[in-house]
Amino acid sequence: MGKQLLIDAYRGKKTPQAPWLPYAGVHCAYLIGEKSDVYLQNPDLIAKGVLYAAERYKVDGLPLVFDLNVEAMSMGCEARWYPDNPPAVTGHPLADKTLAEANLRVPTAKDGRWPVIVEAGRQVMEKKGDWALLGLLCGPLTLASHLRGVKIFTDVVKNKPLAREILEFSSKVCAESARIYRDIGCEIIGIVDPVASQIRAETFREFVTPACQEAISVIHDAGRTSSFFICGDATKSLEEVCKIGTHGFAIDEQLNINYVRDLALKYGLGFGGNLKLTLALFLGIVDPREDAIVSLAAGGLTGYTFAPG
Amino acid sequence: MSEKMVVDILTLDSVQCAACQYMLEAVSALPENVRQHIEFKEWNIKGAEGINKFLGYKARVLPTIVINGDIVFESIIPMYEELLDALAARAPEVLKTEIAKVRDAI
Repeated sequence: MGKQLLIDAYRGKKTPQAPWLPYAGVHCAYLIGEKSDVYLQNPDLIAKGVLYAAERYKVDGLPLVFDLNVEAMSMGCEARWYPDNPPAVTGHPLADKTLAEANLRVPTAKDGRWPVIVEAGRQVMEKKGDWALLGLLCGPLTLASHLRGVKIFTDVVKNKPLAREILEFSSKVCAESARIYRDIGCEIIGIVDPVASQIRAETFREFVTPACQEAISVIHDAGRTSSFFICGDATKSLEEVCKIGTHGFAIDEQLNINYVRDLALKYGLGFGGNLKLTLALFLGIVDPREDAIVSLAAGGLTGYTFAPG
Repeated sequence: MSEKMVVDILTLDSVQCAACQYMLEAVSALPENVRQHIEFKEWNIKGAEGINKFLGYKARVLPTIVINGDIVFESIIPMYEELLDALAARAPEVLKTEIAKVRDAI
């Protein structure tokens, strides 16, 4: 296990071997025989699951939680809990109300679900070994989608002032989440914005890039390592991801790892992901061992982190 | 015989994946007078049915919206108007009129 190995890769440096980062998420609950909904609401269980997964998988890094609903739920968004998944937001407070009417405020470490996560983080930091703890915050466009619902995808084209207002608010929330993970002690803080793969590059540049800057400043001012996580077929926006200002980025299985590697090398960034989570690990259509060998060969030893996509 | 349009949303899983969640919601949040003329269904590839649907359409990415058999939106959550236009382009006359009403009201 190697915390520094992962940090170096995340910062685009050469490494003697590719670090290993499984995004275990609620799989940690499964490993300790708990249901996700129970697990995610109990700091002792989260700490137990994360520490167990770290040992079991001999990790170089692990997220504290991988749940993009924390921020929205901490502002009062309705959500449904699941026994085998993170919860999912079901109500969008800005669907028919303005920010002022909805009376939303930026959640702090004392609000909503945060105290559970902060306490879990404290316990993990106290006991963890030589591996990096990742704090993964909900990115601005995914958060804006949770708050506004699907209308945000029309707003970013047809009602830009409203979209800008919501994204600016989301930006403040992201920055506060970064502060919370910073204060927990997370060595790496990732802005996770899966929905940002579902828009055009110019929309990404206009709305997502500026909305990430305050959180990135929080991370960098604290001397921590930053990353931007995107999922889906983000080929159209990947150059924008490279320019966003983080030390690196993470992608999913739908991108071509050779293309991603070349782009990361061009910009001097860390990059990770692309193991075939669905095709290999879940469905078994692709042999996981062969997939891992191909990924390691393609990823190389400059800035690459071996991780699921 | 039903003249309903068929809209298939191919996903990883709309519960697990936020991008898939909002791709599905783009369709499910259509106004009732449009929605009553379409049959929409999520096909997540965590099951055999979903995999077969994905392969049958020769889809390339997730999430994807397929309208009457045409792959229309691949990893792009459409604007409201874009989705209405894509439906109208493939709609029977009765639905074209309904969609035009909705479109004019925007």
